[in-house]
Amino acid sequence: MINFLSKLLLLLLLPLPFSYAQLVPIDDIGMSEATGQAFIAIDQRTEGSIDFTKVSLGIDAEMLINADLVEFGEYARSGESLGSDIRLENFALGEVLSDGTIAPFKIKDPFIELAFEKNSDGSGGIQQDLVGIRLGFGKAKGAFTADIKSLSGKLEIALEGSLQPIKDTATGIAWLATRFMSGNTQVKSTAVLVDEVGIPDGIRAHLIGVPKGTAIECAGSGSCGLAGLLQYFTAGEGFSSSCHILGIGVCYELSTYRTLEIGDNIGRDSDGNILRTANGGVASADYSDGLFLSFQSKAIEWTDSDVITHDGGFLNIPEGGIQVNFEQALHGTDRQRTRYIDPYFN
Amino acid sequence: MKIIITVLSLFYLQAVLALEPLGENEMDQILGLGGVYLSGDLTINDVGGPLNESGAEPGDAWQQDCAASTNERCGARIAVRTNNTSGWIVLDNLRGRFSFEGLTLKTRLIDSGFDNDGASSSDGASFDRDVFEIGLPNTMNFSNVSYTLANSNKARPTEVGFKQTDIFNVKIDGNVSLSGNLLLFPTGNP
Amino acid sequence: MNKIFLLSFSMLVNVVQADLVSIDDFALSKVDGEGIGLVLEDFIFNAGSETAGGGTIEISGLKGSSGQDVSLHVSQFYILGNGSIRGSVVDGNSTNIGRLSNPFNIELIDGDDVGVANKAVFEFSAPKLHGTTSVFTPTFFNQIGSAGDFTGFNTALFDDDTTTGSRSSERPDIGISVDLEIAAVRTQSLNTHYKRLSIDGSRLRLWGSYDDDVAKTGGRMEGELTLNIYTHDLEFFACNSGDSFGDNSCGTSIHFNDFAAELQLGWGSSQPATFEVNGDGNFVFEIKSLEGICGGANTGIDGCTASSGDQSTDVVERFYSSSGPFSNIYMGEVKVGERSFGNSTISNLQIEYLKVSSHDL
Repeated sequence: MINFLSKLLLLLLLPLPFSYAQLVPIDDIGMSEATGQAFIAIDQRTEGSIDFTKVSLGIDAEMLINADLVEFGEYARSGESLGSDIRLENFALGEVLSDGTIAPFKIKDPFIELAFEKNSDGSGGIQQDLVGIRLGFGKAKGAFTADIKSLSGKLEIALEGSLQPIKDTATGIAWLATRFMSGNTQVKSTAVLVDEVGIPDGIRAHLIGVPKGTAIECAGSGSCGLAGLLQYFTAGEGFSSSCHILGIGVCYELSTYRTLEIGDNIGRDSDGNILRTANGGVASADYSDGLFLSFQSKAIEWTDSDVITHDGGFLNIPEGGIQVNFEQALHGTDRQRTRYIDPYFN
Repeated sequence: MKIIITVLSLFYLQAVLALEPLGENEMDQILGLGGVYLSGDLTINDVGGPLNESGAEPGDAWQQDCAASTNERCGARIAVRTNNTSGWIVLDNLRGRFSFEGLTLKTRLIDSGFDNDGASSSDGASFDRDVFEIGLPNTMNFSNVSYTLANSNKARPTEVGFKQTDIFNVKIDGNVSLSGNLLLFPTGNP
Repeated sequence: MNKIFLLSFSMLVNVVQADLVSIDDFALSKVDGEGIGLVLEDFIFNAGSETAGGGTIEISGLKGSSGQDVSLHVSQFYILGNGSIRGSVVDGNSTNIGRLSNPFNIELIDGDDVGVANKAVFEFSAPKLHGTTSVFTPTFFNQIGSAGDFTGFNTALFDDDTTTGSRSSERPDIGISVDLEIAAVRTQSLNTHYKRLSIDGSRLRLWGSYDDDVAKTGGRMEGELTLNIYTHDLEFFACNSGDSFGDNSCGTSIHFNDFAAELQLGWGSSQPATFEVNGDGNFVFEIKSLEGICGGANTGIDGCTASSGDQSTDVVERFYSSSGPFSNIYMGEVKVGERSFGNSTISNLQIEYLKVSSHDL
């Protein structure tokens, strides 16, 4: 009796750990839901004597960021007066709208790419010399804000809008020539990175302008009356001095374009101004392809890009990504609000 | 009877005696000897696992030969999440054998050395305290250790609507050199 | 018999004396105990197929954009003392990581001190930056100023033996050499090497949070990461598959000399960083937006309040002051082959909002 009770007491005193987790077999239906393709892709490609190794990330990113200074390639470069390949001050991606909401800068599918050139290794074999590195974004859209002090790379601004701002600032022969043209005529041209005399120059540029040999043309499909004559006056040639078309200045400081809206098919009004929502955001825009930053020791045509980069730092801002009217071309674009407390806004 | 009562009383008395902390002076007098030398061998799902049932009857276990098979049910699965309404970060198909020999544990007084290869003053001299030293085993052996890093929207593959995206698989087979000591000691102001 | 029962039941009573009560967050936030310091002494790590006795380390399951199988085979992955010449000097070339006077540290800290009110915060930190605190020395910060005033990076952070942070014997060489295999063909060996790496000043802080603190719903883990990377030389180059530094097929490199990154991701509970997986099985990393941070209908534009200079109460003002989070990246020299491209800088980068989510390619 004592033994039995003692054992009973012991049993009651001892904790009894049972496992209550029931293991369930995985059936085949459950297992088949696992998918394979993830967000990293690695590719190799050869073009001519250059091999490219590219790591792509399936990533969507949106951001509002600010930096005091973004500078690449600060070194002395022969034939150049500016000190850096790329120098952007008071840089921001994205903007703060008037009601305090954020319109972020959006990026899809960034990638890193390395370029290797196959050269002889001096003993009969081949060595892979790394000649370039590129950080790119498959697609991008949003507000790109900076005081651009120096830019190397490719930036094209589509100029399109009414003739009126040109008429208003024309002097001399240009004043006379444009008197009888209708200010409402829609005209267009293209501005690229140029040097002080209007020659296209993608290395350490601080000017963007209608390059030598390019004219202002009709934008509409029909005739644009007397304004159609402008197409015969190319910048920097004939009657026009360098960086001018008939006395109309066509080269502009990059730093006057304080905010550039990157995107394709941005909704605009008839005057070329961006259509904005009540709180100041861009009403409609698609993504642009081809934004990238690269360093290379020689000219390279990177994969999926018809841009041939020069050596050094190179920032490629997508073609068709930026458009201004002639009012903005002549006077620059306003800086958007990029911080909640923004000393540079207004 | 008296013996039983006496014995039970002793137990009772022992439970009432309070533990008293040893003072610092007494602790100083205690000297340890040596340390601990460990060897380890860990095998996970190397030849199958509890989910490896394919038969109709419970207990039809080990139907897959997991030594040869890469069937996903052969590995273990760990899922964690940082938000109680979100999806899961998963280590899936975890399997293989991991072994080491010669992991040591001991305490050690450091009062010299750690002088940046002679170029600077001695950290050890100014430190002058005991540390707990874990001596790393010099070599670790991995035998077909593999796992998959993945994301999934549900905790278990058996849940309705389960979807998992594998990111990459890792497989390690062979020796890894890992030598040196990990020193642990208290920091801050107690 | 009765006495036996009495004595036995008395034992029962004595056994169950301690009643454990869970510590709530408020009580836990008062905990400020000791931390645990960690130092690695005479450390060597060396793995990969090209190492003595090493086996295979394979990363597979990756794809190319056309769906072909891609895998990476690690030839060597090492952590060695500085002067390892890209991982070739292994024997006897050990390193310390952390210092007895300035170790890696694991600790539970008082959240009130670090911008996470009324919570205990788990912190894992690297050796602290003392003495040379660096970093960029801006002469203006969120004020209008000329960038000609920018005075640049404090390069003394690479000249370690004079600081109280990690010294040269505590700055390891780290590198990895992987063979890239695409569609079962080994195409090249990609090499990455860091020389004299230090992560002094880095730390990871983690804490728990609720969407609704009263109802305790919507629980999640939040954090803040300060990541500093200082390396004398970050190098990439490629060789033929199976070769390593010194072999003929290894070509010229890209070097980032005197590379420093000082990244601040997250800022206390005002702007926590979170990492989770969404309902589609894709991961999401987010640094919470400043939008709505003032609360209610307050847009936060020009600060939460109209008056300036009250950073102690105005979180937007504090964000844009020197107490706010900011990141810097500096590269003393970028060299592609023999061609030098001078230095590059991103200074005083602030993140008001960031969200990164993955999707299947």
